[in-house]
Amino acid sequence: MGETKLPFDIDSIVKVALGEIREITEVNELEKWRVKYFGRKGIFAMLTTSIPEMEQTLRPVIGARINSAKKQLNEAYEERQAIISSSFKEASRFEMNLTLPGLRSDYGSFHPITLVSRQIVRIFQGLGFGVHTGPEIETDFYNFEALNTPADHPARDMWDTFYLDTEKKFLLRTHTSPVQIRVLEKMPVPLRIIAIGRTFRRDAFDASHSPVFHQVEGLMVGYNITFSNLKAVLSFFLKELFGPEIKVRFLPSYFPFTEPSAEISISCVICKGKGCQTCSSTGWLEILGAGMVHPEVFRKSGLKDNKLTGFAFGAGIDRITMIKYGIDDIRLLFFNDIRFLKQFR
Amino acid sequence: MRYSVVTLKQYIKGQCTTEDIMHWLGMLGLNPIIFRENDQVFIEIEVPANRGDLLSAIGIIRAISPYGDIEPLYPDRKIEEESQNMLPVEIEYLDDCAFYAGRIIEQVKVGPSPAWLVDKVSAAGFRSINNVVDITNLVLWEFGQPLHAFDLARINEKIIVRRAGNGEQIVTLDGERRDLSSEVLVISDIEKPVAIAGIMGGLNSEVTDKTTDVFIESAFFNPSRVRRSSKFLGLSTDASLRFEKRADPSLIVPALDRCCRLIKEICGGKISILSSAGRRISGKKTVIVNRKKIDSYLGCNIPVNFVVDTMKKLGFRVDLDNETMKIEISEGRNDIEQDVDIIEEIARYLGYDRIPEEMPVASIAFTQSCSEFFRIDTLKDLFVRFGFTEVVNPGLMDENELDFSSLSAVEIVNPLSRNYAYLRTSLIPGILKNFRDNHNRKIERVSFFEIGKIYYKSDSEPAEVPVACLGSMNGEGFYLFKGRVESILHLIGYRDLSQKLVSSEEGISIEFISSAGFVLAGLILPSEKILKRYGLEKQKIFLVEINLKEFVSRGFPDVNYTPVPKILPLTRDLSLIVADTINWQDVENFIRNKIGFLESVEVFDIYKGENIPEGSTGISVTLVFCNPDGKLTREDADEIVKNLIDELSNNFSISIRK
Repeated sequence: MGETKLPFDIDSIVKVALGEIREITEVNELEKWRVKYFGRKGIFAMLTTSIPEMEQTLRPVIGARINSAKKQLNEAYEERQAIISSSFKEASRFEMNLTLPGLRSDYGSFHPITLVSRQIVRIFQGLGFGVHTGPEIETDFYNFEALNTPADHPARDMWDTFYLDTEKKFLLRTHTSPVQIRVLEKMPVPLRIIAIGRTFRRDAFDASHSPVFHQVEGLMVGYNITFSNLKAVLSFFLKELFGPEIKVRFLPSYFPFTEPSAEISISCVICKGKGCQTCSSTGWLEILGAGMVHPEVFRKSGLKDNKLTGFAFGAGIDRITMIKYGIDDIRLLFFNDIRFLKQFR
Repeated sequence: MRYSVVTLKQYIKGQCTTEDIMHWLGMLGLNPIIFRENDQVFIEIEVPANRGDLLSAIGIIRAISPYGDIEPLYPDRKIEEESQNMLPVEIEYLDDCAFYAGRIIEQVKVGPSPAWLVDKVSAAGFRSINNVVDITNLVLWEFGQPLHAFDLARINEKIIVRRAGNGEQIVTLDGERRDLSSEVLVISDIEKPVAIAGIMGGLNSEVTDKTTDVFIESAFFNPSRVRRSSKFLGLSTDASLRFEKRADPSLIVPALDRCCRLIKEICGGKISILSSAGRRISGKKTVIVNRKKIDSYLGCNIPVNFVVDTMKKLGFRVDLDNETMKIEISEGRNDIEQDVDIIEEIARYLGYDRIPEEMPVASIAFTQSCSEFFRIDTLKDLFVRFGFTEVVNPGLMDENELDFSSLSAVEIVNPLSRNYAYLRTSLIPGILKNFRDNHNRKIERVSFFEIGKIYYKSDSEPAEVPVACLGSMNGEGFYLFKGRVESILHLIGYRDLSQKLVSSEEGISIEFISSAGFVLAGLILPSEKILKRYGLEKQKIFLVEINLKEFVSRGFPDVNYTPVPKILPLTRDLSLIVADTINWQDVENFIRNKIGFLESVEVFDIYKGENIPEGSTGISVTLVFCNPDGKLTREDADEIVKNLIDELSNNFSISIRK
């Protein structure tokens, strides 16, 4: 404040003080304001000490003006103080400290296999495919015989099978392909479906094998279904799933239940086709087995109309999941370590 | 199957590079890999189960020939018969062996192979034994026809192709003594088996340095008979692999002659006339293909010249008319039986990449889905919303883990190990293991769920049923967990379940029972014994298993809108002190029965501690009276509550908390 000549314009002092206090939101700021006006060396203290220097006649008038200004600012101070402390008061009503961290409530998450299955289902639902599951315990007929793989067929070596009885009638399905037969037996053609579910093969656990895994199967049957359709639908599917930039490669393959058969690979998503450990330096990742439905499969399903054609395909969901998320060991999918699972929230 | 590139090229007529061969094998879908070993370049391919013809040099070259200007160069197989000696052959069942042929070669010099032969057979992946055996292996590699050389002196009188007797034994060339059965086809003389047909020779008739006369066998054994023998013995060889895939019957005599010619060249000796039994079978087939079908099946136009040229290169004869194509398939191509097989050949030689992509045209009508997938998928949403994390367990178990269910477990006949010998009868052991594994990694609090099948024996046949299991380790308290379970059961449509407390060795459980008397869910607090088994004795664990069979077929309950009441309900709160020995279900049912127009009775606070006697619990409930027409007065409600308090005191010794 200094030794400057005191402005006797009390009205402007009040005006300035009220302007200042309106901006104040914190307790310590408010205290500074109080000291500035009401403190021992504050403005009002100085004004009061200067009264004796005034003209005798002015003294009472000035004293009264100072008092009323003090009263006005004091009211403003109390009002402001009430506003600032009200939120604390409000909180104290609950008898708790609202600034402590909240108690975390559990939030769950889906297994990555579920996430990928859902993506696959969404793509095929968009194309009008129905979704089926089928039993996990199958008979030899549905798992092999009806799929053109009779007993003693060398192709049976392609699926190492868990049997549930010594007559080998019941088994754990080695692929989702038996759902093809079950659907063809009971649903009207033309049809298009995918089947999703658990499958089993007699493979010991290692980084890339598991006795239990998951597959998606597809089947589209109609009167003009061609190999060229198979290529278009599966290219579309893979580009929807892995992104439009990937390349898709079709090569001949062998399955007893399709003819012609194909093996379908995508350009490696890790190294973009340059060659890396994941793709064994080939630049390609095999994703799907597919082909045109073998006439014998239609026959075994009780369909006699030889104008029907169709295509079918199958893929490992676990493998797709591993490729999509860069998981290098299939066992992680079955170990259920929360530190792994919670990354898929 | 691996091929040395240098050796393979000796059998190719025409020009091609190693890169060409690699490219063509790739187009055929054989996933070729090229590698170098001992200064030689090898190509390794994957041969599909139906392509026995690709298990030989000639077969491979035939298969790639349509891609280039090459064809297979057949090795010399001309012989002169210099002796009339024969070994009589008998076949027990022609079904097991349709044709059996052989030639005696007298006065051969058995010894080490010349260097070029050693190189050739080792490049083909065989260990060099002696000149005669090496020659049979080389011819196998060239033609794909397995041959076997016997020491003639050790065969008594004649060859009999027959099933082994039960209890019969043979020591095979690998030195193993093997028990035979009537599943196994053997080559025998009049007293003993001398070889396992199509799989491996016997030590008792082995060709050695002391051998002077040999008998070379070349035959057609029934593919599934060889496969069964091989499975029975657990013995698979280069020979059995080819017989299983049906070796080309037209090569039986040519391969035999090629072998005899080489033996004469290398080991000397006199070749004799053919000894044989059965009849030469023909594998020739004719397939008729509708020409239009080729285009309509593949979805593109394929020039007829291309088709005819390809077929001819494969050694097939083609007869063309306006509508059809009659194709005579060469022997050895067992994979070709009908028109679609020919279409596959055409697509392969055209190249799959040259077939255009075209989306199918189909009705926009959806094909119906089954009920299971989406219902279970929605249930997963519900569980995650309740804070549970989804797990996936393999579901193969040890016998000791089956005690959570009274179902009769399904045993795997050929399990991987004892730990995985049974199919799960409950999802609880899986989740307990997950708790254990996470706990071992210093994770204290988790809530898991799994939805999957459990399996059991029903009338001695295996069956499966979908269930859900939810579990919490050191999560919220019991009443919160139970509340979540009750909410879930309510949401999936179970509105009137009674509860029963059951105690067993596995723990104390609350069974949720339908009005029809079925246990739909069981909430279990595992016993000390169970927790100890999983190393979880100090952990607070609650689990519930819910049977989803009915839910999967029925789905979520329909929503039935009823108008929101216009008059506010009358409610009364009561704080009761209830002994812990009293089943709350009984109390609730009692209240419902006593008060006719009660809308709900809801517990909103459970309290133990100050002012509550030991062994009792303070339970606060809200009674909501339904009062649609507003006739029930406050005084009526007070009267009802007053009477109720008396009744509760009389019937359950329940007192009111002041």
